Amino acid sequence: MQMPKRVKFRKMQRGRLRGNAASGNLVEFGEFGLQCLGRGFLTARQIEAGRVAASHHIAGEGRIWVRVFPWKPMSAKPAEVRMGTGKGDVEYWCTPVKPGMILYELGGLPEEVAKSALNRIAHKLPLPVRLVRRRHKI
Amino acid sequence: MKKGVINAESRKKGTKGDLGKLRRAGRVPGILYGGGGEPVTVSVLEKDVRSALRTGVRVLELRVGAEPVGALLKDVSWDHLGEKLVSVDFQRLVKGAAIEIRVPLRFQGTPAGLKEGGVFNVIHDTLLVSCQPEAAPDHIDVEVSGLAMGDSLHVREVALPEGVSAAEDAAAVLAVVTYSDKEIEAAATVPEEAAVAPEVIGEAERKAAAPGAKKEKEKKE
Repeated sequence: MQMPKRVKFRKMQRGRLRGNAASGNLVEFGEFGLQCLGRGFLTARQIEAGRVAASHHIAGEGRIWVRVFPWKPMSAKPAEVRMGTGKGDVEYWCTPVKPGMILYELGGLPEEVAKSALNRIAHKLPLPVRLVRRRHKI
Repeated sequence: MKKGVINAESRKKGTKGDLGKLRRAGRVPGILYGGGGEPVTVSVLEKDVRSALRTGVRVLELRVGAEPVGALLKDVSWDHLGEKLVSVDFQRLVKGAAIEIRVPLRFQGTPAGLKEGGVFNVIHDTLLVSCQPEAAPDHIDVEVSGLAMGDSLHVREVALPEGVSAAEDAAAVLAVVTYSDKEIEAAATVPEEAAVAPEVIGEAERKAAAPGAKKEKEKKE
């Protein structure tokens, strides 16, 4: 599972998810991308599940770029534990995503294969997504 | 390059609310600048800008009121989803002065490296060129059939039409024939480590410097 190698602090506050993606909202590497339309957290497991689903489908042809990394630690208290006595342990790592963010990109594949691969990824994610194409820069 | 015509209306520098009203009415706020003149705030029909983008028109005649102005469609801003146009920038053209414009690249042929299982990875699908407005090409054809596995296409290798020169670094890479994911995964022999907590920066030093740690050291001595 992906997680940072080094962190400045072991635990983090949850924060708030507001606004839309101001960066990371353009297809930069491949020809097709999967754009997030919702707002929420993607866990390292979900990101990896999406990557594996697409990777199996394209059977090693083409390239996949994962544009998000789970950098945020999420802590939780065990079940049936009374409140207090400090913050819980880190349970999982995730990344906050905002509408517009490109989550995955695919390149070197025919459109139909890329579409079906991105559809498989979409089924692994907890947020609404859509397929977008690379756009010429002006 | 195809030349287009866009009708524009001059507008007052408005508030965020005014610009919102403008956008809801099917227009896009824009600005006309450069060419030694004062910047002029304008508004244009969104469908006109979309049409220019779709057909690849960059050099155009902007009709602000009765006066037509030669202009270059310099930049457009999209919303976060890349659906709606937020604003558009036009640059005034000056007679005899060269312009810098991004021209789409059309890759011709199939790279030889694809037969070896490679992937043709386009890094830049446009090239920034410097030319006279009338000499600006619609697109630039680039032959890539000679690219073997691991080969790159550089700016210096692109054959440009007469009167057009590249405005980018000659050594910049435009495309590369790279290994597919299958080959990358096969080459990665590092076994996947079990998930451990990440290292906390400076924690070891803090622990060593703590008063408790000093006492323990002394006891050991």
